[in-house]
Amino acid sequence: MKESSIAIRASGLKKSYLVPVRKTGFMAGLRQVFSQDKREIRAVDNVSFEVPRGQFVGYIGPNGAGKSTTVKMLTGILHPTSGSVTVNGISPQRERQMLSREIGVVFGQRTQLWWDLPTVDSFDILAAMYDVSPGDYRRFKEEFHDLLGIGEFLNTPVRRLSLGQRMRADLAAAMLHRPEVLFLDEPTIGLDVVGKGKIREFLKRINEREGVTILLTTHDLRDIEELCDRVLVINHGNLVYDGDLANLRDRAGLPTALSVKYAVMPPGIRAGQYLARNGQPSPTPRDGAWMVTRVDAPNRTVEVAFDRTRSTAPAVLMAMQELGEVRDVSLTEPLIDDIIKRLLDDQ
Amino acid sequence: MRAARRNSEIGPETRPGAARPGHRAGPRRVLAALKLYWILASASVRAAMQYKFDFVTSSIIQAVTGAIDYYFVAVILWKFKTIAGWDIYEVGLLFAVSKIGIGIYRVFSEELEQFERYMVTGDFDSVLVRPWPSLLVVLSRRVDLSRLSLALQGMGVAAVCVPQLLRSGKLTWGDIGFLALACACSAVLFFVVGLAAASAAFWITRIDELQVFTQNAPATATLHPLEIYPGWLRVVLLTALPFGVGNYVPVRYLLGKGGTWMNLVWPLIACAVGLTVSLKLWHAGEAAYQSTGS
Repeated sequence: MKESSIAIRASGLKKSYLVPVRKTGFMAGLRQVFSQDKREIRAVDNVSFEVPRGQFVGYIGPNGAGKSTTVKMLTGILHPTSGSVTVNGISPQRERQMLSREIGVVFGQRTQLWWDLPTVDSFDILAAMYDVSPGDYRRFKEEFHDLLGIGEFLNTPVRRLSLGQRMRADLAAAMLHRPEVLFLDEPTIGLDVVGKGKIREFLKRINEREGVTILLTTHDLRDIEELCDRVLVINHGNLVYDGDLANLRDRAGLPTALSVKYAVMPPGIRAGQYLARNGQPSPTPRDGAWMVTRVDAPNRTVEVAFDRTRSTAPAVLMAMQELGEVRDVSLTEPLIDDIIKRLLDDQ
Repeated sequence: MRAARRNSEIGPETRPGAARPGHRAGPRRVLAALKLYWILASASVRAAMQYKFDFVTSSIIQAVTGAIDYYFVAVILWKFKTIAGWDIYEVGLLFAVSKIGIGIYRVFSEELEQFERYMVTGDFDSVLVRPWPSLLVVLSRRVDLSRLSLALQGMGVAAVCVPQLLRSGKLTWGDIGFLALACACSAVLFFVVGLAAASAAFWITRIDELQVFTQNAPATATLHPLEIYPGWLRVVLLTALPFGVGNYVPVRYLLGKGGTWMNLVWPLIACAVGLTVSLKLWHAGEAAYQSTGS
């Protein structure tokens, strides 16, 4: 890949910490003070990836997996123990101040605005800090009022904003200097459904229309489903998956559910039975038969689970059509939480 | 699409390692930094004024506690007339230079005194994502005008002592300029020690006690003539924690109590060396910063 087309490059990235070994037994607290025993904790261990410009990447994993540590190394907050990072061709560690002009950073759990001042004062300060011209700054306020509704609370002190408003203000602040790369560390944490929806809509827009490269860490996996072109999964500091969400689903091997509503409820079908490829119910699994997972007689609905790596939805549907006239069909993918859990269990 | 437009704009200016616009160097960068400092400092004063009652009470409390410091010195002097050959007006001059120095330092560097919070909460993260030196961003977070009361105490004591010393011929009008320089050096030396103590937080996180040990105790000690202390403590107050270089060294010479004209130069040398060392310590600490969990 051409250097100029890469927004983020991490190569053999490692971050380790030395922590004191906890003492137990007689006068453990006092012995701890004088102890020299330390052990190494590897928060991130040999992580490598490249993100092309304009890509929307979800960086996910369980708590303590190393997500935030990676983001902090990519933004110049932390220095890696070994390995190298470039963002827009700039080393975050050697040229932190230069890089800061080209990236935006949002930490969902911590505002970067001036707590006691009206929100507009924070924007004024940031405009001065990033040398934003008065014209660009005026356009920013107009555009971001349309996109995130910041005009509603410009004169409200940051400490009085609701969580949703604060997050919108933080996102706007991160975009004020028009960065090319945006790092978002759990930007939807604690928000209600409406708040999350607004944030997602905004992120989708700036990624698609303005080509901003976005790396997002989140525990809300709907963020990933709705926004990300690519998923990186990290666990115990190691990158355990790099690909798209569909492949991740396939790799986890969790079943997809096909739910069919019939004109007339098919007779003799029960949950726990199997459905053969020719549409005949069977009490035992054979020849790739699929399990009937739910039967809702009053609603004339039958649900069948199948593995996407072995069967296709049309094949399952064809078999189900053998049972009767189909009125409606819906497909339910496995929950992403379950997919990640399965993936990590398999490591 | 903007992504495509951006890609097509990748030229020499945006190649890896190339200088980016906005990342200026030299005098323009310094001017821009001063302008930014002014904007941020003004914002911090506006933020402090959101809590006017706190501002007023904190100013009063500091003025009162500072007056108590001088009261104890004065009580000893009323009793014994001199301390190690220094009379009340001479000791008052030491007090004034030190208090004006610490007052100026605390007005502009109060955030260093609270720096432990940045390490404990991980707030330093948000400092490091700004396109300016981290120290500038930290210092500009708070300009604490209530600390002016410390400097005002010093000026008040100077207003009483200096005329007496001029009348008695121990000071000349020409010495006033050197006293002003001593106050400025004293402020810088408080900054040097304050910055070094704050830098320690990058490694040890908790620095409250260290700040008391390196600043409050020695600053109080240098309100008195150093002759009253044992040799090892004098060495400490003139080297590792050089507050004595800020007030005692120049004042001793100006009052004709010993030393040479070099007594007026040593504070400048101490400031230069101290600033170099503490700034290096800060930069090393910045690289060693561990942040906190999210």
